[in-house]
Amino acid sequence: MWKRMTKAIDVLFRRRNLETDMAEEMRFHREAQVEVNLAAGMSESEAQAEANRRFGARGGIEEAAREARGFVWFTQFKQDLRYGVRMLGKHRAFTVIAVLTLALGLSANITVFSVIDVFFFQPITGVERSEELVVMTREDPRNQFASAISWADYEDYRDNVPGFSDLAVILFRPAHLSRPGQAAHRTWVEFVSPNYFELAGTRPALGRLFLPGEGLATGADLTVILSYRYWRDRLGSDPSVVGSAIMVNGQSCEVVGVAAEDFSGMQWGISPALWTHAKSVPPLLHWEENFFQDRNWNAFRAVGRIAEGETLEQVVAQLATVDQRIAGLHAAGSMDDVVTKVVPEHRSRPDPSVSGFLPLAATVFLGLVLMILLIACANVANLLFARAATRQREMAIRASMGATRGRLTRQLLTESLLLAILAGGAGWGLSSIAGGMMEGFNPSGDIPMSDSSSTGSGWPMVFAVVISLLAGLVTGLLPALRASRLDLVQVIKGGAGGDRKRHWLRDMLVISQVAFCAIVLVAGGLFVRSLQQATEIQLGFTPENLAMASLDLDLQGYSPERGQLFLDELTAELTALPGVESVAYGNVLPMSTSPGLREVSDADSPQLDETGRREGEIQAASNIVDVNFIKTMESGLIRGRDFNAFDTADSPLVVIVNQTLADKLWPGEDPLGRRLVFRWGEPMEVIGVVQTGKYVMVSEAPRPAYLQPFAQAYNAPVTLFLRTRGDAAAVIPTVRGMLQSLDTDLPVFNTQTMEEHLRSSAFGFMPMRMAAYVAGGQGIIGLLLAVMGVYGVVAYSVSQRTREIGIRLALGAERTDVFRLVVRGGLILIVVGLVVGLVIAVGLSLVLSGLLVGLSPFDLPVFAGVAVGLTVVSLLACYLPARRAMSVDPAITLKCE
Amino acid sequence: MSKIELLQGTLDLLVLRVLQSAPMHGFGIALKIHLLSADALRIEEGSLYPALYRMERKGWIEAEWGVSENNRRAKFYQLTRKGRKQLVTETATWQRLTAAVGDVLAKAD
Repeated sequence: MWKRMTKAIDVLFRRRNLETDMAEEMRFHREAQVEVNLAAGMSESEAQAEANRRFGARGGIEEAAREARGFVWFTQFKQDLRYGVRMLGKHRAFTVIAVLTLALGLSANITVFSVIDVFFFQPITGVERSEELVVMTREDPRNQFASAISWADYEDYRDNVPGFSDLAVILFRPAHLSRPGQAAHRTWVEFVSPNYFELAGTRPALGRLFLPGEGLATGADLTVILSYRYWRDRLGSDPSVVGSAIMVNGQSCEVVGVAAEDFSGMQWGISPALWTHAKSVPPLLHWEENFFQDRNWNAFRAVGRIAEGETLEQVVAQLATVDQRIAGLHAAGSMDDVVTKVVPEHRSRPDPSVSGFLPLAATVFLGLVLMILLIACANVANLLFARAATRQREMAIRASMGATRGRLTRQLLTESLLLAILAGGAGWGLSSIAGGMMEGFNPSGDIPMSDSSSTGSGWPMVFAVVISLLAGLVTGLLPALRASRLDLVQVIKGGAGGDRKRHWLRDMLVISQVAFCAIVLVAGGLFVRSLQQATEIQLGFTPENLAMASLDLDLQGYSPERGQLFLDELTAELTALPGVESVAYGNVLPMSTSPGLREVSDADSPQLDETGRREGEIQAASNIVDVNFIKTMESGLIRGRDFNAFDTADSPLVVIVNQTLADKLWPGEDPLGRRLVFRWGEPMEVIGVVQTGKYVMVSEAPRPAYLQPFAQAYNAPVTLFLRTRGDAAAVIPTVRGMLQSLDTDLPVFNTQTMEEHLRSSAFGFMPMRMAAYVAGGQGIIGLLLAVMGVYGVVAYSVSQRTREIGIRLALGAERTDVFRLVVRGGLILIVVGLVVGLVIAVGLSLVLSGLLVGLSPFDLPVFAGVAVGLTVVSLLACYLPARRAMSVDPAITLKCE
Repeated sequence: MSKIELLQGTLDLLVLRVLQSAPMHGFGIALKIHLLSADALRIEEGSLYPALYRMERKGWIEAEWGVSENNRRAKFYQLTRKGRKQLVTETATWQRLTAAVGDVLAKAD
C-alpha cells in the first residue's frame, strides 16, 4: 500500500522523469533490435527501417503504456485543460456565444436558488449552533394563525418536557421608544423569557446581557438590551448608553447592554430594536397581571433546543403528554383537536402557519429554471455538434497519433466543462444583478426586517459550482461521445457523410427546446395572468385615491376619552383639507400583519363550553370602524343601515356583517335583526350587510367578516383613511404635518397610499408580483434561448445542405420551393415540440393551481398565446436561414466540393 | 514460419515465467519468449510495454535501471513476491486449461 502511494506521488510530481525513463527504455529496445537485425545480416538502413516498423505508430505504444502505468488521468487532465483553454481562446466567437448562453440559464438557476436558500438554509446569524434551533407550534384546525402559546403553558412545557434542553419564549410587539426629552418613534421590540440570551449563546457588544435571577418577578427588572443596529442607527453608537434610560411606551427602563453586532434575535427575517423581560409586559404594555396565569392568553412564540439523544418525535410525544394534563386547565374544549409540534427553525419560515406551501413553490420554480438551463444546454450542445463536424480532422490526427477514444472524449468534455465554469462565473455575476433587482420586493410594513444580504450562506456558491459542472457534463457528453467515434477511413476520404443519426439527434434537440420553452412560457404566462386577475379582485374597498396613516394612541398612553377627542379633532381637520373628500378610521388595516381574527357565532345558538364557544362557531375577520368608514372605503352596503352618530357607548350594541358571514350563520335567512357574538363578548344586533371583500390576504377564499362601531368598542391602534379627489400621494405630506402639529410626540407609520400598501404588503400583491416577475423573466430567457436554438439548428442544416439545394436549383427547382422546403422542415419540429410542451404544461398548471390566485389552470389566453407566439417567433428563426438557402448559387456550390 | 496469436492474458504468464530465473529488460523478455517458443511466438512491442507497466502497477514486477550486456543503460524487470505467487496460480490455471482442452480434443470424435 505504502509503495503504491509513493508511486502515485512519484507519478504526479515526477512525470517528466517517468516520461524520459520511458523514452529511454524505448530507445534501448529499438537499438537492441537494430543490432539483432544487423547480426541477422540486414543492411544498416534495412535494420533501422525494420526496427522502426515494429514500433509502428510510436506514439501509440507510449500512449498505451502511459495509460497502463495508471494515475495517468491527472497529468492528462492538466494537458486537456491546457489544450482546452487554447481551443476556446482560438475560437472566440464560439466561446462567447456558448458561455453567454449557458450563463443565462445558470444565472436563472442561481437566482432562484439564492431565494430558496434564504428561506430554507440561511442560518440565524449570531446564534450558536443555529441549525439546531427548533420552533414550537400549535396546530388548531379552527384557527389558521394559532401557533402561539400562553406563559402558563410555556412554564409547563419548559419544566415537564425533558426532550428540550432549553426552551425560551418571545413576544414580538410594536412599541414607542424615546430617550428622555426626545420625541418617541415607533418600532418593534421583543419581550423574552430570562433564559433567552443563554439559549442563543450570544455575547454582548457592550455592557451585559440578562443576569441570572433577573426578570423573574413581574415588573421587577425594567432592564433592556438594545440591538446593535438600533444602537448604531438610532443612537449613533453612543458609547455611554449603558446605564442610561430609555422610554418604552412612556415607561422608563434602564439600558444594561447592547447585543452583538451579528445578533438580531432568533426569529427569522425580523430585527427587533431591543429585548426586555417577558415579566415587564404588564407595566410596559399595560396588560393585566393575569396575563401570566391565563392559559387562553396565547401570546408567545417558543424557541428551543433539543436535548442530546432526544429526537423530534420523542419531544412531540412528551408535548402531547403535557397537553393532555394541561387541557383541563384551559377553558373546556379549547384544546380539542389542537396538536403541539416542534419543527426545525428553518422549516418554520416565514411563519409556521404558512410555511407548508413553500416546498411546493420552491420545487416549481426550481423545476422551471432547470428547464431553462436544459434549453441553454441543448443550444450549446448543438453548437458543439456543429463544431465537431469541423473538428473531425483534428480528432482523426490525434487518434492516429495514438489517442484512444476515451482520451478524445475526455478532452472534449474538459472543453465543455471549461465553458461551463466560465459560464458559471458569468451567471453568478448576472444573478447578483438580478438579486439587486429583487431587493425591491422586500415586504413593506413597519416591522424592521433583518438585513439578509449580509447573512448569505455558502450554499448558493456550492449550488452554482455543482450546477455549472452538471450543465457542462450534460452539454458536452453527447457531442463528445459522437465526435470521438471516428471512422478514420471516411474522414480521410474527406466527406462528412450523411449521418442520419446525427440529424435525428439534432431534431430531438429542437423538439425538446421548443417543448421546454412552451412549458416555461405557460408557467410565466399563468403567473402574470394571475397577478393581473388579482388586481381585479373585489377587495371590499376602492384602493385608488386612498391615502392612509397609522398611529397607536394606546402605546402613547392616551386614555380612551382623550383618544376619542383627539381622533374627532383630527378627522375634522383632515376633512377640511383641500383635495380630501372624506376621512375615516379603523382599528385594522386590511392585508397587514395584524389580521384581527375572532371566533363568532349566532348569539341565539346553544353555548358549548365555558370559553363562550357556541354551536356553528366560525372564524371571522373583525374591524372596529368609525361612522364614515363604509362610505369612505366604498365598501358597498348591500342591506340595512350604516353606523351613525346614535350608535354610542350607551345605545344597544350593533354590528355590520359581510355577505359571507351572513350566508354562513344564517343561510337563506334575513340576517338583519339577528344577534352576533364573539367569545367573551356581548351579543350585537346585525343592522347591515356589506359586500364580501379581502381582509387578511388578497388571495384568500371568501372570508366572513364583521364591523363594530368605534364608539362602542374603543381600540386605538388605528389607521386613518383619506379619500382624495386627485392623487392620494399628494396629501400625505400635509397629513404628516397636521399629525405633528396636534401631537409632536406621536409616532406615525404606514403613511402611504393604499395602492402602495397593497403592492408591497406580503399579504397583498407582493408575493404574486414577485412570482409574476420571476416566472415572466424566466419565460423571456427561455424564449430567447429557444429561438437561438431553433435558428442555430435550421441555419446549420441549411449550411450542410447547400450542395443538395444547389442540385435542386440546378435541376430546375424554384427558389420559393427551396424556401418552403427549409421552413417546412423547421415547422414540423416546432409543432411537435409545441404539442409535447403544451401537454406537459397542462399537468404543471394543475400543480400550480394551488399557488395561483383566481385563475383556472386551463387559462385559454395563456395557452393560445404561447402556442401562437412561440410558433411565430420560431418561424422567424427559420426565415433567415431559409432566405439564405434561396440565394444559393448552384454554379458555385457544385464547383466548390 | 507462421505466427501464433497469443491468447488473452497469456502474455502476462509468459513474462512472469521468463522473469522467474533472473531480472531482464524489455527487449530481452521479448527475445527470450521468441527464442524459447522456437520462433513461433512474436511479442509485439505495442503489447509488451503496456503489459509490463500494468504488471508493475499491480505489484507483480518491479523495475530498476541497470546496465545491459553491451554496457548500455537499460531498465530491468524482476519478479516481486506477489509476482511469484501470481506465477504459481497462473501456471496452475494454464495447465488445467490446456489439460482440459487436450482432453476434449483427444476424446471427442
